[in-house]
Amino acid sequence: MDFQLSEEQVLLREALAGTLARLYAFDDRKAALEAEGWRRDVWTMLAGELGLFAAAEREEHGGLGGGAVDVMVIAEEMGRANALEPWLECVVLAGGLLRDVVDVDEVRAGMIDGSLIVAPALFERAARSNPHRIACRFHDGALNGEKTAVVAAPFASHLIVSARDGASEAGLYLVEATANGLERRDYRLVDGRPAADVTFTDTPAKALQIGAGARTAIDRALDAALAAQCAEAIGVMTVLLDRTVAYTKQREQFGRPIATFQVLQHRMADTAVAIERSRSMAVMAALAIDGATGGNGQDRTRSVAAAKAYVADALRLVAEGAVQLHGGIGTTDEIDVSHYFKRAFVLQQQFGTAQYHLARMADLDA
Amino acid sequence: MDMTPTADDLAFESEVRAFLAEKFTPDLREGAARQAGVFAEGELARTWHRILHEKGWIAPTWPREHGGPGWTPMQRYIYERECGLAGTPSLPAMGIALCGPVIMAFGSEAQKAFFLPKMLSGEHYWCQGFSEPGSGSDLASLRTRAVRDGDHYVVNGSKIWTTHAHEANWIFLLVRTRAEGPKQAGISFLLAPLDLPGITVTPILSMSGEHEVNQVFLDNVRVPAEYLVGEENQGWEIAKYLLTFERGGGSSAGRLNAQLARLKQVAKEQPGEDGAPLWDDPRFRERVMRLETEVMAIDWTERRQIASLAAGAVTNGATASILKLSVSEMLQKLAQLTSEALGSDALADQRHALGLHANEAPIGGAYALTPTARYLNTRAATIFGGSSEIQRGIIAKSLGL
Ligand SMILES: Cc1cc2nc3c(=O)[nH]c(=O)nc-3n(C[C@H](O)[C@H](O)[C@H](O)COP(=O)(O)OP(=O)(O)OC[C@H]3O[C@@H](n4cnc5c(N)ncnc54)[C@H](O)[C@@H]3O)c2cc1C
Repeated sequence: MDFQLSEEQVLLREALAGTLARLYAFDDRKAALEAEGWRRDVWTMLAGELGLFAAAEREEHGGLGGGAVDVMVIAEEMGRANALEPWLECVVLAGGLLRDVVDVDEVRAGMIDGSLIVAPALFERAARSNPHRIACRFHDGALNGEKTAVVAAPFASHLIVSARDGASEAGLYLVEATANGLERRDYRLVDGRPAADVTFTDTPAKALQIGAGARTAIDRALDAALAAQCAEAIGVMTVLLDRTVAYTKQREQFGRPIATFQVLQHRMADTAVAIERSRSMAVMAALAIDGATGGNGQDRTRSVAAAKAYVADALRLVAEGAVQLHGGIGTTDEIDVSHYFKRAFVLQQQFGTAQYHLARMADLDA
Repeated sequence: MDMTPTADDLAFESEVRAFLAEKFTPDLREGAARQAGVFAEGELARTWHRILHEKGWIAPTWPREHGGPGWTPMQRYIYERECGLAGTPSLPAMGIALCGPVIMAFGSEAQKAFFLPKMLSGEHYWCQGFSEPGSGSDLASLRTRAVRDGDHYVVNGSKIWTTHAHEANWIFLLVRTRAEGPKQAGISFLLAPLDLPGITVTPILSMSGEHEVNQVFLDNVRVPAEYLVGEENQGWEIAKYLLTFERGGGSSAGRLNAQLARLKQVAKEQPGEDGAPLWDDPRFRERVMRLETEVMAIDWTERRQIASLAAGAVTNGATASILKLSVSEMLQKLAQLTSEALGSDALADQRHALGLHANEAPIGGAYALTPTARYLNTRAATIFGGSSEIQRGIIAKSLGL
C-alpha cells in the first residue's frame, strides 16, 4: 500500500498549480464570467501546453495511460483555481463514456488535443441524477427527447446523449452540436458556467454503444467523474479554509483579531477535520476507480457513493462556515470566497446529492 | 394557560384575510413571487407601502397617537402571520420598524411632527447607517465623525452594507461626537437627507448578483443640528433600543410556514431519482418533517412571547436574540432544502427571470425561480442585525456566563 504520489504526479501538481493560479487570477476570472463564462484560449492551453486531457486516456488512443490518481491530482488543482472550464464534464466524463468505443478515433483525438469539445448529456428532469431512467428515444438513426443542465452545451462541438432504442435498450449516441433538430436553451449555472437544456427532434445521431456495454460505460464513467469531483471539492474547500484563516487573523473587532475568538477557532478546526476526512474519501474513491482497493465493481460503486455523500456534506459545512466567518464581505460578489461558495454549491448537487448517494449505498446493502 | 383566539381575534383575522384577498392583487402577487432578496425591490415596496398606508396598517407596531393602528400584540401577530402566509412584499424595515420607534422614544416634538407622518406616507424612504468598514460586530468602535460647527454637524467618514441606500432619501446615522472616554459614550444618533452635498452612494453586488447594499461616503457633509435625535452622545443607548426592534421585532411564523409550504409543494411536484414525486420518498419527507418541527418550535416561542407581552411583560434581550438566531438559521435551512428539492434546476442561475422587470421564464418550473437565490441571499441573515456568534454571546451572558 502506497499513499504517496509518484514523482511525476508531484511535478504535474506543481506545474499545474503555478499555471492555473496565473490563469485564474480573480479579476481575469471575473472578466471571463462576465464574458462567455469560459475561455477557449485557456481550454487550448489546458489541452496543449499542459497536456491535461491526455492524462487518463489509454496509450493506444494517444493518451498517457494514467489512472484515477492522476485525475485526482488535476482535479484538486482545478478546484483550487476555481477553474471555469468544463474539464470534469468534457474530459473526465466524456472520455470515460468514449473509453471502450471503437470507431470514434477522430472525436477522441479532437477531445484530447482540445480542438473538439464533447459535452455529455445524460440527465433528464424527470429522474434527477439517476442516469438509468432514460426517456430520450433513438429510432431510425434519430434522437427525440430532452436533456437538462448539459454543462458546456452552448459551445460544445458534440454531445454524447443517452437514449433508449426500439427494444428499450439503453444506448449512448454521438450528436453534432449543429445537427438538425437540436435546440438549446442556454443559461448559466450558479457558479457561472455555461449550460443548456437541450431538446432533440428527429436529430441525426450515431450509435456508440448499446445495451449492457452502454450501461457499464455510464456507470463506470460517472463513478470516475464523481471521484474527480470529490478531488475537485478538496481543492475548493482547502482554499475556503485558507482564506478564512488568513482573513480572521487580519480582521480586527473589539480590539483584537477575530481569529482569537475561540468559537471561530473551533469552527475552523471542525472545517479542517472535515477536509482531512474528505481527502481520505477522495483518495479511497480514486483508488476504487483504479481497482486498487482490492475490491470488485460493487466495491467501486459503493466507495464512490460514500465519498460523494461525505464530501457533499463537508462542502456545505466548509462553504457556509467560510462565508459566515467573513461577515458581510463574504456575502458579496467582490471577494473570491463567494465564488468558491457557489462552486461548492454546484459540486454538492451535480451528479447527485448526499441523499441520493446514501440511498444508493443503502440499496446496495439491501 | 389558554391560547384559543378570542372572538375579537377571529374577527380581526377574517378582516385581514379579506383585505389581503382584495388588495394583494394577482399583479402584486406575481411581483412578490419574483423577489429573492431580503426586502422587496423599491418599486414594489413603494406600491405595497401606499396600499397599506391607505388602509392605516402600514405601521403595525405604532400606537394610535402617532398614526399606527394601535393593535394588541395578538393582533400584530395575526396580521404578520397572515401577510407572511400570503407572501406579501417584504417591506424595508429601516423606517417604520426601526427609526420610527426611536423618534417616538427619543425625538423632540418637532421631530415627531415632521418625520413620523412622512414615514407613514412613504414620502421618506429610510436607510440605516450603522456599520462601517472597520466596525461591524464591534459597532461601538465606529469612526465616522461629526463635529459641531454653529447650527450644523460636519460629518466625515463612511458607512457600509447600507441596505437600499440607493432607493432611500433619508439615512439615520451613528456618528462619533466625542473621541475621549469609553467608546460607547461618544456616539450620537443623527438623521440626514441623502441629497446633501458630500454624500455618495456606491453599489455593492451580492453573490447572487443583486443590488441591495451599498457603501455610503460622507465627505464634509453639513447636517443641520436640528436632526440630532436625543442628546449629543446618547447615541449608543438609542442604538441599543433600536436593535431590540431589529432582532425581536414582529413575528416570522407566517413567513417560515409559507416557506415550508413552498418546500412541500416543490417536493410534491418534483420527481425523485425513481421518477416518482420526491414527496413519496420517506427519507426526504422525514427531512421536511424535521424542519417542520423546528418551525413549530419557533412559532410557539413567538406565541408565548406575544402572550407574555400581552400580559404586560417587557421584552428581554435574550428572547430577542433567541428568536433572531432561530429565525435566521431556519430561513437558511428551508432555503437549502427547497433548493435541493429542485434537482438540476437548483443549479441554474435564474437572475434573468428574477425581479419585477425580468421578462424571461425561469429554468424549470415556476417554483424553481427563487429557492437557490434565496439560499445564497439568506447567508446574510446570520450576519446582519448581529451575527449568530454575537447572538449566542448575548444568550450566554443572560445565563450569567
Ligand atoms: C445583506 C446585509 C445587509 C446589511 N444591512 C445593513 C444596513 O442596512 N445598515 C447597517 O448599518 N448595516 C447593515 N449590515 C451590516 C451588518 O450589520 C454587519 O455585517 C454585521 O454587523 C457584521 O459585521 P461585519 O460584516 O463587519 O463582520 P465582522 O464583525 O467582521 O464579523 C466577522 C465574523 O467574526 C465573528 N465575530 C465578530 N466578533 C465576534 C465575537 N466577539 N465573538 C465571536 N465571533 C465574532 C462574526 O460573527 C463573523 O462571523 C448588513 C449586512 C449584510 C450582509
